Amino acid sequence: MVEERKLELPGVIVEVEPQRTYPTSTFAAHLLGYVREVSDEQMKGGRYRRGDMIGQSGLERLLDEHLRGRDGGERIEVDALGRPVQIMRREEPDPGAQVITTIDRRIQEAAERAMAGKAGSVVVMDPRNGDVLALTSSPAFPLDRLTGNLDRDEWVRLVRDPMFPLMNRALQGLYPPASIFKIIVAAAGLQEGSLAPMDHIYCNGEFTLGNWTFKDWKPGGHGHVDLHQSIAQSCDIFFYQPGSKWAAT
Amino acid sequence: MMAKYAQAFGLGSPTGIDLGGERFGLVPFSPAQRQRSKRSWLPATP
Repeated sequence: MVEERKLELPGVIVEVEPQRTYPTSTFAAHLLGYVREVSDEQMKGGRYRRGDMIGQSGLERLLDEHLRGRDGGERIEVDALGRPVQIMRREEPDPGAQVITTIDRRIQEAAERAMAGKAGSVVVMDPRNGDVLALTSSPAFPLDRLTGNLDRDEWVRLVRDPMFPLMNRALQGLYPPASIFKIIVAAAGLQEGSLAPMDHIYCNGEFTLGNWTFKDWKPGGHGHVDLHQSIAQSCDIFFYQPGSKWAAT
Repeated sequence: MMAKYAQAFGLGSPTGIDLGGERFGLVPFSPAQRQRSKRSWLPATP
């Protein structure tokens, strides 16, 4: 419409801009990453032109070179009124490559739902090949806002947020391994010969070492458990025993 | 001993994920190393 009435609307130009649409504002935000105009610092590398939109985090940054494509251009001969007469030269734009991830959208969504309102991360991998099926960091940031016209106040709010929504907890958060470590204790014990699959204990829910008393996650304990049952039920007490024995050596 | 196995399982090592910005953890090998760490260490999580 605007383009058709060009002569009646002096000073109005039509510009075509690429757009990004996201399924939801925060879906896979840390993984996908956001895109913003190239900064002065990034201009120094000489790879970008002023005004270029480039990937600033996540996959957008990692794969920027493949995703960005190339601007096209046209050299057009115009008449005295600025109306195009003929195209002199035309360079086709290259829309860039497509990226297909191993992320399973349903798993990613389920993980994000489970983490709503909490701080932390969920990573789901296919144990057969290491494919990452989901990778979340909570709280997330609004991708569409960061990629669009973000005002200064909103940016400052994001950066100063005590929950650090911009940090990717899956890669940058440090967490104790928790019950995963039982597998390591078991492997070490079996390998070193100090633990056998049929070894068993009576778990009353408590373990005392010096002045410290450690409680099992299950009040009252698990009763008689062997190695297999201890892993299956995640009995803490079973693994305190060999763990503390080795800690002394 | 436990640190040796923890390391063999890859604890404390970067995954090498190419997204970048990865931080990796610390497996305490000795009481001395534990003391050098700035943060306090819990004897265990409850």
